[in-house]
Amino acid sequence: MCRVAIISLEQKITLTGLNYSENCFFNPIQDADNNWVVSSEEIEACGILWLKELPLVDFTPKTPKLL
Amino acid sequence: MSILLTGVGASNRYEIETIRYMRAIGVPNDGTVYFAGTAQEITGAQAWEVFNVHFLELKGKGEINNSVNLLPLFIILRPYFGGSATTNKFNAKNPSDTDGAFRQTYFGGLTHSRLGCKGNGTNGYALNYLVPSVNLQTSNLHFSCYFGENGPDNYEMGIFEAGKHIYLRKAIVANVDNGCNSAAFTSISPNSKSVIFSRNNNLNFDMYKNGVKTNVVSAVGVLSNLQFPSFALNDSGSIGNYTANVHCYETLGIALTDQQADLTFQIIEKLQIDLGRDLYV
Repeated sequence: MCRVAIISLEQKITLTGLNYSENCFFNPIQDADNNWVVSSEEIEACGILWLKELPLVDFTPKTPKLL
Repeated sequence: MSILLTGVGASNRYEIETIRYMRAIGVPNDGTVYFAGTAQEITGAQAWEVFNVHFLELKGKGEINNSVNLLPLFIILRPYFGGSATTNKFNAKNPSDTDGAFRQTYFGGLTHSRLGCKGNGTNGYALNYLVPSVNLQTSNLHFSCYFGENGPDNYEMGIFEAGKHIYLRKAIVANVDNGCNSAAFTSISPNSKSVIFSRNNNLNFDMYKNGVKTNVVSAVGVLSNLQFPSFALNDSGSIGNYTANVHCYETLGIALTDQQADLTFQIIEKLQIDLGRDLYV
């Protein structure tokens, strides 16, 4: 189960399009409750302290389509 | 650990493709040790030899393939070697650091490691800047993936768009479209470490698992003008269905014959064995 951190809309706007590592960009998405989240992999690789301080929770995905 | 090197290429003379690719990913031909203490441990010099054998095989100068030059069939060869996004991004067919050369850019939480590149099933995907309607031909194309572990069924790459489906799933599920428009497989096939789709006319999509043709499906449609992601599905412009599987090698290009598909599988499999990455059980 992937772990994610919930972020605000403003934080999502800040992170979108931002490198978290060389050649790697943040990709905030919404979970089943429409919270914006980023993955633990992005958080671990980045150098953004406020992001690293956010608690991690289990990711609850939206129901995927086309399965 | 020792790396088993076979094939007519273990010499000090390198193919131009080897030189270009290894220089692009920044692996010098020396004793530098990568992935120390793991089953994939390898020196730079050994990696040069392994990839030289690989390119010789692709060019029909190897032990597996001593007759067919497969290299012109590929637009993208993505070996996912080197253990980082910086190395994995390169297209071994054209290792220029440009979008036009179909280098990859990564989004979300992919993990780049000695094993290849692994999705996180949450938000990780890659773009290679290939647009099917621009870079592929409707009746002359192929795409493939070689997996690093026996993970669950998922969409691994491609586009889902009415009339323009072009995607790859790891397993086949009965009565579900699997990489072609307006057609459905009616039998279930087992997972395999290599999946190749090839389309060489307007009527059929051939599917190969581990180099063997397993399904032929009638397919009609045109190519999409959307981006073709890896590790996810582009569902009519919205990227989702992220996979958590490990990709060791991806290819895209023109259509493969049965022989060419089998050779492609064997050559990529040999590369994984030589890199200590043939872990699919």
